Amino acid sequence: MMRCEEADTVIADYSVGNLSEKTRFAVEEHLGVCEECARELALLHMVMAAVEEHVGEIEPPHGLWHGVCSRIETEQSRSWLEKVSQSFRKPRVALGYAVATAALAGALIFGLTVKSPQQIAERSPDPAAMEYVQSHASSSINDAFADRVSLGFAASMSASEERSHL
Amino acid sequence: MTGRRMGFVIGVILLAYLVSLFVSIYSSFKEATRKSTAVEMRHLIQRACSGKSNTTYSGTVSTTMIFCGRDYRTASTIRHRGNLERIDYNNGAVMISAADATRTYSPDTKTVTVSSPSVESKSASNLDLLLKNYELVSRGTDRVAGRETLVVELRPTRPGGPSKRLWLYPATDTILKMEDRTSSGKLKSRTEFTSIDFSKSIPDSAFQSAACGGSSCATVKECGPRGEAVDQAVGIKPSFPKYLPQGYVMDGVSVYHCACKCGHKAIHIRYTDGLNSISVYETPAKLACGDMCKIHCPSGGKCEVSDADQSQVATASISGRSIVVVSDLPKNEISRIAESIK
Repeated sequence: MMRCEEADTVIADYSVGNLSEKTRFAVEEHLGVCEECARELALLHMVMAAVEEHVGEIEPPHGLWHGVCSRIETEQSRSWLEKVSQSFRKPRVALGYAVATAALAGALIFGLTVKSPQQIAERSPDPAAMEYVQSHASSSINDAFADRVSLGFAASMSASEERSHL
Repeated sequence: MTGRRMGFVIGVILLAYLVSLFVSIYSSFKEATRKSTAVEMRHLIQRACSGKSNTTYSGTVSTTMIFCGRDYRTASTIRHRGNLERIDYNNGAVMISAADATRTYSPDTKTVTVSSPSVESKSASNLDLLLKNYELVSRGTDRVAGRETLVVELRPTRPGGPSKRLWLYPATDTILKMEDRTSSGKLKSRTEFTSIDFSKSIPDSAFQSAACGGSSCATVKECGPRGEAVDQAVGIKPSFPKYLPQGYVMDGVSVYHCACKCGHKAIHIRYTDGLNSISVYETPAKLACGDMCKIHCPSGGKCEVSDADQSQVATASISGRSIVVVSDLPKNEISRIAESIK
């Protein structure tokens, strides 16, 4: 006996007589015992009737098939990144991503604001201490393999920085 | 045991013997090659260090450096003759180095900063220290300023220190490029010649004092008195750390004049391992200039450690003095040094 999930995949084809005899019998057998799938079929018939009544016969534009075909081929060759970005267009997936992003952001903010005991002893350097950092760097200018060019440049830069702060 | 079986056993033993013989010959050859390369690089480094005093050259240099968390690039010209060197930066600053001191002229601030080498500092002993604490690793060859150079990396023998790469031009024993990296492997600075000329002579006038944009410069001395005079100048006796990482020796004790313009001074004790250095600054806790230069140290002998421009800074307040320790070392090491000062 066919199950509802299987019937659901072929019911549209059944409604337009586009199934093999064997599958058609299986669908009919299922429809005979499943009220829900029978209602689905009735709904499909109503929609089709409404479309036929209001739209009538429309001639497909020239090259429609090739257009659809090339779109399918493009879809298959798309990168995973594009596929992920495409999945964002689905509301349920997008909501899932949004919840996950919010959770991650929350965890990050929490992690940054609540310091571990080891981190509490650290802080940004005292402005007065920065003078000593600069002095420490300059003190290596006479060392054997010191990069005197960059140390001299740093010294001239810090002199300019000091002036801009005054 | 049959004759066939005996032959098989002898064959296996013979094969094992041949394999072990091959392995031992290969290992000795590899070790000999490694030792000869290390000796060769050592000689090259020694020649580059002493060769600086014998060569004359002029050229243009490109520098990339990370300063206050920003990436800076500059071009400058270098003129070098014996122990004298003049660097003209494209921002107008000039640095003139001689045996007694290095003077940096800043036309922007109209100051000349004088930095004297430590009394105890001797380039030969510093080089020995460097070769003791750093492994020389060959990184092949590279072309710099149109010349073929040998690339040598100075890698610390103990983990947790900075490293350096030198591009050496063996024909004149000149360093054409150098790259400094922090203990975390981040680029600190890179300087390389874009052109160099060994044939031009440089007149004495090139190494005479540079003017600060046509006017005279105010002199700022980075290092003041040394030895006994340090106590008198600062008002406290230096306290030395009981703990130092392995491989570091004292480079000198001097007086540091704070750039805050209020005239306060600090004792500067410097240690080096040949490449990296540790600076310990000590000031009386009560300063005449109030809070302007005051370092806000935690009390009770505990120190605070912070990141500052590719170094670590530890501050502590111990026995009525403020202590600042600066070095590119792991946080636990630098705090251990600061807390060992009593």
